[in-house]
Amino acid sequence: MKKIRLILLFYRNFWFASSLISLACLALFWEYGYSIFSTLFWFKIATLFIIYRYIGSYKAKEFYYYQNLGISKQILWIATLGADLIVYLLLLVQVNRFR
Amino acid sequence: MNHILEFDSIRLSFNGRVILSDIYMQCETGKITGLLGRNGQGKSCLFNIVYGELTAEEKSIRFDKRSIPDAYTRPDLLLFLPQFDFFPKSLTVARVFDDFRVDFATLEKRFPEFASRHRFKLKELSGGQFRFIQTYIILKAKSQFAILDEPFTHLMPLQIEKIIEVIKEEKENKGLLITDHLYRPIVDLSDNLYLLRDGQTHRIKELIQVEDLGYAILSG
Repeated sequence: MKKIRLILLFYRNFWFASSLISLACLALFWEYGYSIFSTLFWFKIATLFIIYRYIGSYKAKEFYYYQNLGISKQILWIATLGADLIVYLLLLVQVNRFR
Repeated sequence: MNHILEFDSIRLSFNGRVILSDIYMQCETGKITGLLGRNGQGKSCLFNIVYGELTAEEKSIRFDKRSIPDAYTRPDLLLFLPQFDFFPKSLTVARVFDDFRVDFATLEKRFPEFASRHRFKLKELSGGQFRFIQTYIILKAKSQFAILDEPFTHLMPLQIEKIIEVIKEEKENKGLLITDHLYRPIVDLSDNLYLLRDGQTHRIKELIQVEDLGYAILSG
């Protein structure tokens, strides 16, 4: 539970930006459908990579906080970026069902 | 039971310039190990290598003779206070105490300047109070060893006295490895003292060595 709380704390650093990007992609998917799926997928991957680089540099000092509590950078990134991408893909599937 | 942290065979170089080459240090629980050294000698690099945060060309880090190269994954063995502020400033004082399972009431009782500060966000504290809380938590959190890289930075003299009290107290519970440019408290506190110069650690047995190695004049 404590680990999840800390991972959520880390995710707070970029959830808003990432959600905005996801919403924009979902809106485009609603409009154009599967024809742009590949573009939207790679666009999302690219934005996650930019977030990874930016937060990795901007919040570099704060990683010591999580490490002192037993959570490595790898766990933070895999958990947050992984969950963000999975939710994004699940939402794309849902949008496709209702369009 | 006493525990031992020792490290040696550490080699680090940047662009061909050798920073660390001949290192040996040993820390024990119940003791304070001090590290002195001029700016740029590699003290922080050494601590980051021991913590596993910085990759060295070679290294051997052992806890009770067992090699643990990535100590940052084991806060039960080693905690690390870097020389800069690292707690997320958006958190409240109560939250960080809770995360590290450290009792805020004890701090409040002992240091009244923190009374009713538990709902404050860290960014609302003064620079000295912020640094004090980070150092206090790293000292008080449960672990076998703690590295303190410049714990007195940003602290005013009264706060330094208080943190020295906590350091002396926590020495009973863990092994402490400390460096700071405020070298007199380090010299006074340390049970074992080392000096890092030209990539090598020198064990200080007589204080005159500190002068001989060109670090400081202690006899004044």
